[in-house]
Amino acid sequence: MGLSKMSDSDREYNRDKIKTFLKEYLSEAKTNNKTQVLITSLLHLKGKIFNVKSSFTWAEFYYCTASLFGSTDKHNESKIACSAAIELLVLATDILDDLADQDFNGEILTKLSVPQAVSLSSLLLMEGLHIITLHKNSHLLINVIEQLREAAQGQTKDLSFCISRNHLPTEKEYFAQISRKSVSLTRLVFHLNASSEELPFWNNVADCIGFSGQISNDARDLFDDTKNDLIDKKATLPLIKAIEAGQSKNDDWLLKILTTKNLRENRDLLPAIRAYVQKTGAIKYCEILTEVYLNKAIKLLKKKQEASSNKIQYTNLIRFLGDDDH
Amino acid sequence: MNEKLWALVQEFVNKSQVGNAELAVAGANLDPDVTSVFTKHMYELAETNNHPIQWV
Repeated sequence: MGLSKMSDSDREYNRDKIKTFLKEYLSEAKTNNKTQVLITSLLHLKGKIFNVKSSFTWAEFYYCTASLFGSTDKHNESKIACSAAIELLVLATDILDDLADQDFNGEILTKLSVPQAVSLSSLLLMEGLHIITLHKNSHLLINVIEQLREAAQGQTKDLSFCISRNHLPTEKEYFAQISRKSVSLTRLVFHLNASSEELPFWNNVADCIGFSGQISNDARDLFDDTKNDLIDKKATLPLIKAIEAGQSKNDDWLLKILTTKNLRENRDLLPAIRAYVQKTGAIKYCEILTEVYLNKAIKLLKKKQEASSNKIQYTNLIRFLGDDDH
Repeated sequence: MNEKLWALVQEFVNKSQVGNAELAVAGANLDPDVTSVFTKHMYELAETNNHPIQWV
């Protein structure tokens, strides 16, 4: 996701309120001290709310988004609580994602044993939902469940969404897959705030933000030795496009490697695969799409801002997403 | 979905020199919102191809 361009003092203030809520909530929740320590330690990881270097956090994304929809005292209290809830829900899905991908060298599973990871993800999911039930109407909770259900179904499908001899996934299938697996979490943020009449517009914004973030992650993770997407031959956009590029030139080197070699046992092939993908332009294509989708989201927000009385809040969200012009 | 963009990226990806006119003609086939991003990235790429990064 893009770097935040909100003013530093505003950002610090909002972040502190969410952090304080989380600390108090965790200390009052019916969990033992060891569990609280583990959760706090996970919330200090890269991209999480307790990590001072995090440029994009889901809690702050929720906070900026919810600010578009109201600013009464009651609304502000709910905004902080639900920002914390979203941080916990996304952390739960991150743990599940790393478990499913067997990322045992990644940040999360080097801190947790598998039994701890399983029970913590379940606990975080329940605590996140519990906070939302305390602060939102039940019809909005149904929206949350629906998007989490999409994410869970996408995660299950993701296990078999790989490059194989029997099936070569297409770009269209990739977008459908990430729409369920991860973009559903971006939609969840808007579904907790927008009226049902306005959901089609906000779904469009959420999809653009989510596509931008996921494509960027997939391109980055291909070069990350602690991530297993490449060795598991996950059908990510850079791999799909690199295979397509090879096929259009009657060069099936990459496809042959991916369908005949076990990359867990042949890690020495990874540098050559990465260089090949880069040379086809697939990474550059992903970088361009990342920017195009983010620009689309910002353009939609700016158009909506024109008719809104919450102009500052729109500017804050646009800056948070990384637009330099604001 | 983004077929035209992908075709152009493949065409330009390994070029070490990119002319303004060449890029303008290529970009004319794209959605205006995509053209500006594509053009910016292709200039960056040509710069990199002309001065390859020395890996250590």
